Amino acid sequence: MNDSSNDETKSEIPAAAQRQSTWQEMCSSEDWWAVWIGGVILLVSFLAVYLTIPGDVSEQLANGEKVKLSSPLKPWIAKPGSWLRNPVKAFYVAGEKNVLPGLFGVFVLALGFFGFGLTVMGHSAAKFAVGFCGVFLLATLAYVLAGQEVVKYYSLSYALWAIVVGMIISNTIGTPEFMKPAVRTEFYIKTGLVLLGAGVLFSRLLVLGVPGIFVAWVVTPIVLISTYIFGQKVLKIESKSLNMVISADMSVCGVSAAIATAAACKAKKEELSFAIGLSLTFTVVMMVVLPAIIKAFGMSEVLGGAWLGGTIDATGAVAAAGGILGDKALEVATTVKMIQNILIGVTAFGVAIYWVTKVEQNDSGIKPDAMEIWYRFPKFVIGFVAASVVFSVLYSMLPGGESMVNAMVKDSTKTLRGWFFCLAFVSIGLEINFREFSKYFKGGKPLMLYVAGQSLNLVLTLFMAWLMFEVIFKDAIEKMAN
Amino acid sequence: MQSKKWRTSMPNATDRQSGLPNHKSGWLSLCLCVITMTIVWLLLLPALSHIPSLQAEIENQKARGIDASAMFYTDLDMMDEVLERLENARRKNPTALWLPSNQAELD
Repeated sequence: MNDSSNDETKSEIPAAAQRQSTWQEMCSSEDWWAVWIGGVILLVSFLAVYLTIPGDVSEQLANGEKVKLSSPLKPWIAKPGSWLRNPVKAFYVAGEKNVLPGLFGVFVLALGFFGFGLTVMGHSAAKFAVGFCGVFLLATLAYVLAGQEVVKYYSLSYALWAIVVGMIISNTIGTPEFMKPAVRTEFYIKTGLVLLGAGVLFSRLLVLGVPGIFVAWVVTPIVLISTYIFGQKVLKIESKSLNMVISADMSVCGVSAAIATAAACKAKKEELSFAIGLSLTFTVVMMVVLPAIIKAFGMSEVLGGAWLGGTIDATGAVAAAGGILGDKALEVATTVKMIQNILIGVTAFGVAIYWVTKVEQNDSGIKPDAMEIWYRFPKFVIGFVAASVVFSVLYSMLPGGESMVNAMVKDSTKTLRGWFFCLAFVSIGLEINFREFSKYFKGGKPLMLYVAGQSLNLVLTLFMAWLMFEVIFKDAIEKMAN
Repeated sequence: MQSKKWRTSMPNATDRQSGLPNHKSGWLSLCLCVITMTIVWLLLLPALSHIPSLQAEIENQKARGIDASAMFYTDLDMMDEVLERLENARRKNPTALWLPSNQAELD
């Protein structure tokens, strides 16, 4: 890290005497409030499903049968849908959909939770409420832009449009003063990550057996660590956090990994935005080019699918590219990507530990003891990992747990997590100016890092997919595919 | 807590010293952006969607439950079906994807 960043890191860590106790932190820090809010939302969402299961269905669940459940919260939690020519259809289609009550529900819920948390942390609830109306409107606009069918087809998700919308405002008329109290990037992202934890279910790690683990969990960490070392030692990228965020989003799973890693290594907002832009650009190229290469070389659908799943960053783009090759490729690609998705929790935890024990230690010149590590550790990661562990256990151990966790995630927490990330990206856009942002394009080092890392990823993943799916487990895979 | 916050390289996005346009040209730039986006989203993109091959691809994705903008696997509706098929295959042969030597048994 360069000198200025070094100074910055040193000044960020207060002396031991100035620090709050863990108990005080739990009541006053944004990290802990993200854990509390995320935890309450998960608890309420799970109970909403658990307590409203019809009597006859309870018997089926107790017998281990799979039943499709739904959450009573579903009508009150929604986001704008897709549309082709008329954006009004994102909100309302006569006789088909009306997401307005759902938008209202999300608005009230987010305003209530974040407003309460900020009030306890000593901020003005009224000012937050006024600003939140503006930020929420911009987030809604970002969803509408992302919902256009052609935009959606090219995998350009709301994250990109939320940043763009925010940046347009901040770089033209400037972020309005009334909106600033609701520009709370870290708070929204960390709360969203706690909700994301409920979808990181460890039993799903094993669905493709040894081949899935080798393609997604052996290659990915090798690529992540190699790319990071290449960035530090060869390219000598000044910002370690930028290096880490790009390495993670390229090797793990795009935007969601970038968000988790950026929060874990306390990256700059500009760095997260830049990494997302880079990832989405290559995603669009790769989702078109890779299926063409796979077809041109006559690879099998299974091998092609595994290659796509292990290399294309964005989950949706993996599905789109797999779909071009065929049904088998689609299934293998999305399953490999799902197993990679699960790696987010381990990545975020590992990066957070590495940062507080190695990077911040080097920057501050002080070797941290256990208390120091605990103090510096980003606490929201605890919420993220705890949500993952708790819901993995409920999913696997509770009779009907699979149906209940699925209903909870699909009908409520997935949508809320999306909204919280969208609010965070709007906030990032509102805090960025083009001049600061453009400096990341100079010198081309981040671009070189991405290209070098992705090249290694493409080669290693192809080799491992070939070895696992075409050699060692060839017969088993063929039998299963038929 | 302030000390744990992400670093921001610019103190204030609306700071005049940062070289941002003045009030009048700022509003003008905003209007230009809004007009451009309106043209792209309401005219250009709907026009693109009339291209038969693109239209067919979009319909195909919809029919198969593929959301190309999905950020996480839980955002993909089609995953339920995929996981169920994998589960059924696993039930039929629990060790197929765990033991390479099991291939002989399969045959």
